[in-house]
Amino acid sequence: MRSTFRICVSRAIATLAMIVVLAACGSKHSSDPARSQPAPKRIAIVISTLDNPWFVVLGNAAKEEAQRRGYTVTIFDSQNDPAKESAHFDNIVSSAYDAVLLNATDADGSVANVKKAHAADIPVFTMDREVNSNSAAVSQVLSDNYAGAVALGQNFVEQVGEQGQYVELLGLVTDNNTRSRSKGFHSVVDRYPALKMVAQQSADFDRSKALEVTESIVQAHPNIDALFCGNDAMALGAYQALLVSGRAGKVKVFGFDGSEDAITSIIEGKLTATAMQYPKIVARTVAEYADRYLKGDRQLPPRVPVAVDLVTNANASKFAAHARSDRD
Amino acid sequence: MRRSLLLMPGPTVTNEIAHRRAYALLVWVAGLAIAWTLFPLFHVRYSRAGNDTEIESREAVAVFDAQRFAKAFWTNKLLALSDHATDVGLLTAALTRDPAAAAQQYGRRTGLGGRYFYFIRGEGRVRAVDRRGVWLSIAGQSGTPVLLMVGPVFGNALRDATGFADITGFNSIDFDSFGAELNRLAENEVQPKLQKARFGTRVRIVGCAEAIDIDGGMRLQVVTASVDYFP
Repeated sequence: MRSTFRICVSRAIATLAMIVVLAACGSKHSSDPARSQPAPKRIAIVISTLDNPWFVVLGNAAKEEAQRRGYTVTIFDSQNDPAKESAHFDNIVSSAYDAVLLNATDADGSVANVKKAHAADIPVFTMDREVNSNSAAVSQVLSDNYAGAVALGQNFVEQVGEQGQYVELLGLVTDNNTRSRSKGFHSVVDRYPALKMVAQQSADFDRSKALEVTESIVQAHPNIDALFCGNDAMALGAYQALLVSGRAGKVKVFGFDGSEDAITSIIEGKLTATAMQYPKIVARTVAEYADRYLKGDRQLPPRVPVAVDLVTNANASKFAAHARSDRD
Repeated sequence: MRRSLLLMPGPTVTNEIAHRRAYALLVWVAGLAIAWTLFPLFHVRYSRAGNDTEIESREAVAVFDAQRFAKAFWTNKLLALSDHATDVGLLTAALTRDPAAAAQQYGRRTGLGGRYFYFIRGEGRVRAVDRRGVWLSIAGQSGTPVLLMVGPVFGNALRDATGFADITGFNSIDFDSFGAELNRLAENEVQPKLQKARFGTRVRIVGCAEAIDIDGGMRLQVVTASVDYFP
């Protein structure tokens, strides 16, 4: 009798277990619509610094495009600090994000972070700032800084003339963009031996530092004719220093980026020219590539240069902040 | 005998319990297996592209020699494969008709939104020489002037026009250095020959060009890679 009872209990429990399992299976497909959709994949956007408006546009454009494609997005600010970027990647790997859109702090130093994600099977796509690896990142979408700087160099010679004194303000010296812009610019102006560079100094792409650096340079070299700056923030900082020293309007200032302030300043005659980069195009392309990769596309190009355009007083009205009327 | 066994009295109560326990256990195991399959406690994920050692070995490349690379490209691609180039008369006619369509049909560009460049070859007659370079007239064409430029060469026409140089495998600084060295070869090895051009001379050229819109009219500006004069 007791044995029969135990048998019945065992059968009842087994049957109940089967019912629970089958119910769980059924509910996955029918009973709970909220659970029928897989959880959205997550994309991490790591930006070198959100202090610079250009990178804010880059990050927000990438975020909007990734969200539009159905991803959950988190933006990380590295504050131009490779150590912070590394900590972000530790977090990203341990949290098992599905992809990373990276605006790197350091062309060489960031490679280890990209490899860290790669080893964890998290694909990385770089935006605007290159990492010096041909295999760690899936794809690198970069402004054609060299070509933009060549165009600026040619305009520089037209505006300043084939002789004179000038100063170059460099960005972050560990960044390939800094090197590409400087090399492109010098590939032109160095062909004119009477154009003398009297000072070359880094201001880390930072407006305040550019102001300080320019103040001291102008004291040492009061007769300069022009300043070539590796980005618009530094160009605007340099212009402020010239304003303070009473040299504004006498020294031609060239930037690079195409920020709203720079475009306005070119129209007002404060800056002479800049090179318009297209952060929204870069960001959207990278988000699209990440989406395609996560959906199985393995034919993405490893490097994609994005053209930049020369902006001068003659054509500045065609441009808005970080964009052109016919090219967003 | 078998029949007799089947007709034997059934198993003992103990055996029956054992069988039923085994049945219950089987049902439990099956249930757990299904549950495990549907709701695994952990996932095994496989690395995508090998290990870091593999990456390291792929990264271990020699320092890029832009000058040497450019020289090899100049000889083995740009000049050796010039039969892939578009006839300059065909291109100028197409540019005169519809520049956008000509760009789509004959132009090449690298990346997003860049300029179109054209890999060209063909014959013409020198109709003028000035400080900008040598102006050619192309038989049967009058709409789009052709200028063989002299002086400093900038830009990436030589690098990007042929489609033979692929940015894959370069970092951007190396790729730009390679382009700059090609420009230097054009200045040093070809432009001295261009200086010998005289009005009326017939020339055969290979080059890389860009179509420039000047006040609504197109001009084909050529970085010349090869020039030969003939009667």
